[in-house]
Amino acid sequence: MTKFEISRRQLLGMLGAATVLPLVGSLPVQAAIPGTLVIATPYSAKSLFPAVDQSSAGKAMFVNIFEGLVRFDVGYNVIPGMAESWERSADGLTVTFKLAQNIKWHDGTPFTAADVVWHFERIVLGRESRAKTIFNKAGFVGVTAKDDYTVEFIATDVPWDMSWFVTLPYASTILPKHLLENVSEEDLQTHEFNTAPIGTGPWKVSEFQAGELLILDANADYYRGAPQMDQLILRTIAQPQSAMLAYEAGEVDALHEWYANIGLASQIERIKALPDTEVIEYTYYNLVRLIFNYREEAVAKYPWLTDVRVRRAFAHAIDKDTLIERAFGGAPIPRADGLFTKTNVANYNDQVAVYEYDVEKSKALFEEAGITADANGVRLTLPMPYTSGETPDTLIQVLAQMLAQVGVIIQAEPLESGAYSSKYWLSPTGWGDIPLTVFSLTPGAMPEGISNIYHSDFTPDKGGRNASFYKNEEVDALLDGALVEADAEKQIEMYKKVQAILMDEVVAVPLYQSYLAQVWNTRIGHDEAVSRPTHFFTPFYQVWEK
Amino acid sequence: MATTRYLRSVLLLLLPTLLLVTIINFVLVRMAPGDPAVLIAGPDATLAQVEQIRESLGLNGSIIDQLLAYFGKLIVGDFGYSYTFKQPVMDILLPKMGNTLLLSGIAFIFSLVVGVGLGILSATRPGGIADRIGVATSVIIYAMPSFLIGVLAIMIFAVYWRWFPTEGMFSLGMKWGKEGAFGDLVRHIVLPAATLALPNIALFARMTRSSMLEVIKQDYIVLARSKGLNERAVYIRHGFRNALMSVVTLIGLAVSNLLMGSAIVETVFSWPGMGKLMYDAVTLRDYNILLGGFIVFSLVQLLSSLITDIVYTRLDPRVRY
Repeated sequence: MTKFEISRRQLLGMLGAATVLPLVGSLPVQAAIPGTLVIATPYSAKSLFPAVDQSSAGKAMFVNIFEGLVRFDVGYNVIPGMAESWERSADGLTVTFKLAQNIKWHDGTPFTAADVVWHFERIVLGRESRAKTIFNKAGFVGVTAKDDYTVEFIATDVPWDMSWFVTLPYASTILPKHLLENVSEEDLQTHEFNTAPIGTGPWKVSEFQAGELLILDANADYYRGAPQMDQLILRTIAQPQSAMLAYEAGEVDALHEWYANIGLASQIERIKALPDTEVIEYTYYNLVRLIFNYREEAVAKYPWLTDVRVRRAFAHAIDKDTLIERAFGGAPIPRADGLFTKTNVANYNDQVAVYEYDVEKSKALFEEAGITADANGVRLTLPMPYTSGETPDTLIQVLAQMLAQVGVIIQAEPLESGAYSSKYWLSPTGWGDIPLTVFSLTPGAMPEGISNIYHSDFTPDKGGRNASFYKNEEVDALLDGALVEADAEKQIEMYKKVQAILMDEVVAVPLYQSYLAQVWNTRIGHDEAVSRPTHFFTPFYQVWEK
Repeated sequence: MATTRYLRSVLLLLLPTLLLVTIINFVLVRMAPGDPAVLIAGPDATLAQVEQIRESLGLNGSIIDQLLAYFGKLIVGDFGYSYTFKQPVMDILLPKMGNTLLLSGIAFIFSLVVGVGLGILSATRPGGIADRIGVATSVIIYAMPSFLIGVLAIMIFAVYWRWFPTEGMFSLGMKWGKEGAFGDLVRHIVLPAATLALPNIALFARMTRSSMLEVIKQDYIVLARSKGLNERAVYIRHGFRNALMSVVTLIGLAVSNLLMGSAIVETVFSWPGMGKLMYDAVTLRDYNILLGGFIVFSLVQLLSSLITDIVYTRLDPRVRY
């Protein structure tokens, strides 16, 4: 048997190699492919057909392929899209759009008013949706093509709000009549349009691998001018870790919506320190909240759900800063204090009631409401399903500890994401009969987002997101009124009042919002609209190589 | 030699076994909590839309009706439609299966050659330095989660040293048939295959080593040496061949993992394969994809057991069916 021996020379050689290695590692971040913008996105889109797939993943991708009549600028003001201009009648009940005349579908067919009419009649209003509910509230009469490039929308009850043509489902992605007019509703699900769509947007589909990759070629005939780059590649990389490594190695030029939640706090600093890198940090438009359920079944089992004192007691029992710190280990997660996300839109109310962490006050409120502690100090024992895909386990544990301090014992029930989604989150019966859960909802930047969660008309069985089945007539009236209020100042007041009521009543306890980053290689120039975080995905149109 | 009667009886059993497997899986996936119609309909769907989707998914009938409908299509080779991918099931399954087979196949061959080789080497000098290092490192590697191995591999070899790409099966824009595709594929497959192979190398090495050590103590080895055979012939021709039985068992088991791939490694490397697909299908409750995957998997599993049985008879003449 030979003894394990290294000569001195060999040892020195190994040490030398070890010192050289770190130097080799710090190569500059290179360009991925010239003329092509390669973006890593966490979204995994299975379909590019807006009529069939309205998930965030689908929207993130097909926003590059389709266009609407109008769009938002960075201040959420409505500006021309495929409609060059529009005229509202004095009473606001008629809107006449003048379409640009040089627009072509990706297959070369000219885009005309006939497409708009067909799209709104068949796609937007041909199925039950929030769009249909709101159009009906307006007393929608009809949409007609006055000539090839003029479209008229007529309502009878409520003036048109131009933002509806951007925000309502299906409204901002106009589809081609000549390709889809003879397709039945069922056949839409299986139509090849899912993988090979034709739109009027700045990018055309070159290759789509469902869930993996979307390769887009520049649309040379795009009515606002062809994109300055030849190709856009959206590569799905689900793991933020892998995405970051791909960026570091120069395989992608940008990271779109890079999540830094659990365990990735240290990575943020690392990314910022990379050469030739621009990092845009922002707070996402979601709100993670402790949700109370107001459905009859839940209230029957837990009558205290309707007592505002008890809900306030819950709010006082939670130390949000500590919760965030312990759950996320130092990642810069922003705390949330209202039930509407702060955006650039003027209707955010930052004067709503805030419930500071106060254990004694919490206990006092429980006592006042008649929820007394037993011999062991336990007031309530509650089941709380959640899904660890969305909500970190550590968060639930810390929350449970905080609530235990005031005598509320939480029996956390982690559910697999498919089970939780189909039983609660996406279910037409909303939260069922459970008293509480923790989940993220995205009210979005526009006021109609808040209706979707708190207006009693928008319960999940009707296509809305009010899964708690919350019903407050004053809130309903304010939201309905705001929808039709022509005076902008009064409208803002109404939305602010809604936010104030919601926090007064502690309809839910807001906890935190998500932290996201966009990471760009500095060789790529982009305008503000592209990188500006918005709830409504922006196409990667204004991008160029410097 | 496996008798033709044995082979015939096994092949006859194949069909009923597949049938039983399909029925069991069919019922099992439907028992999992969760409603595919709700998941597919998505966040903005009304109750009416959810019901309509449930109708088109065929979930309204009794389980017997659904089963019969499924078999009706299966007989003509129609595996159904995937409502989450909006494509026929086979259009999605086949390419991904191919990708996984490629990755796992390379990893498997690599782990076999290196693992068994290292095992034999270890066994030739038990207690020697190579052996001791080998045993220690194989325990460490086997204990490391593949996620960790994968990310470390990417960080060191793809980011730090830029020897290999960090993810994917091809460079963006590259595909089969294009010039340079083969070289591109080779560059992409190295890290994920190595990550997949490492735990198996450790396993095969240890197994081969202990098998060999047992065999070396046998009488026929003493006889071989006393006949004057050189060490190499003793170890390989006599020792290894006999140690092969237990290794073949391991191989037979490892083959079944080939097709399913490793969801973790495929996710870390964004390799478009079966592992990741099946994981997504479970989360999205895509019954048709799940069933399609299970059926193919069961078929391969059955065939590989059959092949392993046949191989046993070649290796050990005492085994007879």
